[in-house]
Amino acid sequence: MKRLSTEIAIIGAGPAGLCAAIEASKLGAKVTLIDENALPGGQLFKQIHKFFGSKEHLAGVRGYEIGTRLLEELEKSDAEVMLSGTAYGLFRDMTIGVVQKTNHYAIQAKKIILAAGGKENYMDFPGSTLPGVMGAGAAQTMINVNRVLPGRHVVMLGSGNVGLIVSYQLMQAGACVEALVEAAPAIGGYGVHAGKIRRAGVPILTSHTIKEVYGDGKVEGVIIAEVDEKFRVIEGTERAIAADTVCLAVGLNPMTELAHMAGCGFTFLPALGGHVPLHDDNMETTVPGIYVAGDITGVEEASSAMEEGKLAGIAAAASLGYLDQEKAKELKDEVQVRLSALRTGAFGEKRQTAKTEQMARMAAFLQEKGGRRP
Amino acid sequence: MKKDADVIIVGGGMIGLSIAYWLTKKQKSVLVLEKTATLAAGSSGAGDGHIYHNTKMPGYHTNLGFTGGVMYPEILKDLGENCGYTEGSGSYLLCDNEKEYEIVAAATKKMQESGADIYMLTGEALREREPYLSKEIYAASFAPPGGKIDPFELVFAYARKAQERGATILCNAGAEEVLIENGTAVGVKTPKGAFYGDVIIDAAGSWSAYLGKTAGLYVPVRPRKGQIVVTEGCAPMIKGPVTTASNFCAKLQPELMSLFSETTKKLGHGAALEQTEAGTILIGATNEWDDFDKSNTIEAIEWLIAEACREMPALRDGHFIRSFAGLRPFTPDHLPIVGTTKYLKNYVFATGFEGGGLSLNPIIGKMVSELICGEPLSVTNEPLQPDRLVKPYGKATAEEIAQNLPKDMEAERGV
Amino acid sequence: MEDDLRVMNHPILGDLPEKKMVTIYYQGQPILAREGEPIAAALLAAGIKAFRKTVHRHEPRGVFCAIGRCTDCMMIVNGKPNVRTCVTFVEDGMQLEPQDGYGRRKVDGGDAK
Repeated sequence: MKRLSTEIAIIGAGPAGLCAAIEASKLGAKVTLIDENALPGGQLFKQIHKFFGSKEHLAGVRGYEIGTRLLEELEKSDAEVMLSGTAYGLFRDMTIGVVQKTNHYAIQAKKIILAAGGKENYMDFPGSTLPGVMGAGAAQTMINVNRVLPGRHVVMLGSGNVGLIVSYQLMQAGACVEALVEAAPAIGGYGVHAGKIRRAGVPILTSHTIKEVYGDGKVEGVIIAEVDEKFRVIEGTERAIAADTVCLAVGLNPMTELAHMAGCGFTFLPALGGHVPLHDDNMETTVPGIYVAGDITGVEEASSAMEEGKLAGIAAAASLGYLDQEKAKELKDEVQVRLSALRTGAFGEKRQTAKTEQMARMAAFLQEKGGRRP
Repeated sequence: MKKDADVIIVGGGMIGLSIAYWLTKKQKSVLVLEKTATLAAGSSGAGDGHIYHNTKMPGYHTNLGFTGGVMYPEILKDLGENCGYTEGSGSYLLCDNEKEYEIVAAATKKMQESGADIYMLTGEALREREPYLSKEIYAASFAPPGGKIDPFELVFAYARKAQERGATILCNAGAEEVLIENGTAVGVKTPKGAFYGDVIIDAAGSWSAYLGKTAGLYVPVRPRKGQIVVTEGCAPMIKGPVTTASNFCAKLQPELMSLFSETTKKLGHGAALEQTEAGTILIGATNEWDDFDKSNTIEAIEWLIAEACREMPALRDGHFIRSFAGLRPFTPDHLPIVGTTKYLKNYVFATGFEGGGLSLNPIIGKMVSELICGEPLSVTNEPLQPDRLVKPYGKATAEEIAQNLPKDMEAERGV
Repeated sequence: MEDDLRVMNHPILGDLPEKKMVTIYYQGQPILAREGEPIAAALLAAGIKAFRKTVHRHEPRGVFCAIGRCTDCMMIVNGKPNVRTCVTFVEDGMQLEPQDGYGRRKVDGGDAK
């Protein structure tokens, strides 16, 4: 085992971790960025659509292009990057256990930013484990990063933005999306995305669900059915669709294992994907010196993750004395304005409400502890 | 005075529940008090599943383990559950070299002489039984009755059976104080109220020193931390639980400690291995002094994995997916504390089993139930008599108190 | 190849860049793979979907998450079981076996490093 030390260790080199590393490094802190993948960027490189928001959010720029820009900035910074390194645990004295191929490291940090991201939800129905049933994000990785079609005839379940965007991208890659199935009575994601795939001739079946996926050893078809207002299948409405692939776009959940291991306080907020760590407006958790950013704090999207990453990076650097409180506040306020802007509109507001609740619960936690972290 | 049960047991681990199982079998009414939200939350839920016979002191202690271990088939039949029990896989103590072999062989001979079913195997004979073990292993002691059982399942199976026979189990009911009237234990105070019974049993494991203190007793049970690492699910690789002999040898010949590296001295003996029914292999545990801390350390994880790979080279390309740690209730003479005390009437000890709870709990439960029901004991508890170690709290030195009662947040909230 | 599922032309990403091809072996059968791609991608491109069978019911499983989290795509790679093929890259000459249950290890650990 080799012992290393750093000022700020960041786990996860996706949009949140990259932005945290760039920001903290720019402010002068010694940064070590750790990611278990061979390449940094997290899920940015499979996102070939143009991002939303305003100019500050790089609206109109495609996800993988944003990824490339961030990697260029990272390259210019002094941040140390440790790839193919799995952070397997957080231990006493702010020490991270990392396995990188056959090497074992104990990395002690003054501050730790957890930016591990999220993972896709699974949904259970007969046949849901057959090869050919996969996460929509998994299909997106296959077509856009690996340039391989997981199949030719796809049924998509879930009409949130992920379901809509991946359906369109599957078609761009040459697959046929046979149907997009949504249990709710209305489409979940943006109208502009839905319009694109509807114009391409994909039937969007709201108030429908997948009753069963069938096939001998792999997906051969899907039985869909209408559901009533309580999401119960209406008998007699079943019909079969021939397909070799079923994509599940039924949400994500935060990858919070390391935060649990660090002893961070948690709260349950379904709008954010389930159990999420409590954090304040500095992104600091209930454990002093441990920060969170991105989907681990509650599932949102890449733009919010990047802003949260910057926030955590600034806050961690400020707590190490790399900038005075006044300057820090100025920088954080700028980020907060952009972050709030991303949490507006019909979809953003729900997240804004949940994030406000999350921070209110953090405040209540701190109050209970006499205003200080234990 | 109100009476809630004939017997009140403090501690919802395998010892407390085994006693509850035996007492309810004899129509006693029983109340089990557990301080956490669930049973098996202490040592019972943080160990491996060894029914292990090779490292107890030759003679009484070893024989007690054998007696307990062979009771499982009948108990499990009565419980109507299997609890992951593997009969007859045997348990092994691995000798790395000739020196360890000599010490282990001598101890094994003593065990045999006192009637235990245990003998030595050559390295070749060992690998015939367990082919995945390293060719470097020189020899081993082998106890055919050894085996494995899932401690969680066992505790809950005992609990279900005891409840079926009328026992009450209260969780979130930590013992804040043993209630005493006229030199007699009469009840236990908990956040859920005070409960009264004819007999109060200390089955609080590592927390016994704290419980004893509230009863005015000094009970020298110390938490010894054991860290365990877990592999991914593997196809069957090893049938019996195995342990390396270095710690056992050092216990018998303390001068051997000087041969160990600083890490080994700090972390304890070599890794034990046990493959569970689910295919995972448990590696551990360490033997560390760390008060009531239950966190894992990078140092221990690395050391355990290295030890495991040395014993079983095929694990070198494996994945290690989890780690956890628990506290084993250690006593200064390595023997449990079981029986009554002259310092407090109607108070019974069943604590201090360190890592031996799985082989011992069946016979200890039976023994304590016999003791309480005034029946002749099937096995004497003479060597386990509490008063060899227990004394009035006021008689303990400051040093003893500092060592056995470290400041512990958990203990402050009840035992 | 008729059932080659590679995305050769893409309206945003352009033509598939040329890459050195390597040969991997699935149950002894050679499969051409692009250097640097995950094993799972090479197998999906060749139309192979079932990667392993479950421990108890021996049901087939394939790629689900493609980011190394779900372990549904594990295979025996060069004799080593439980390899996540979605995050392990192809190497020339690699031997792949679908994994039934846990996958048995060699007694001496095979060619483990």
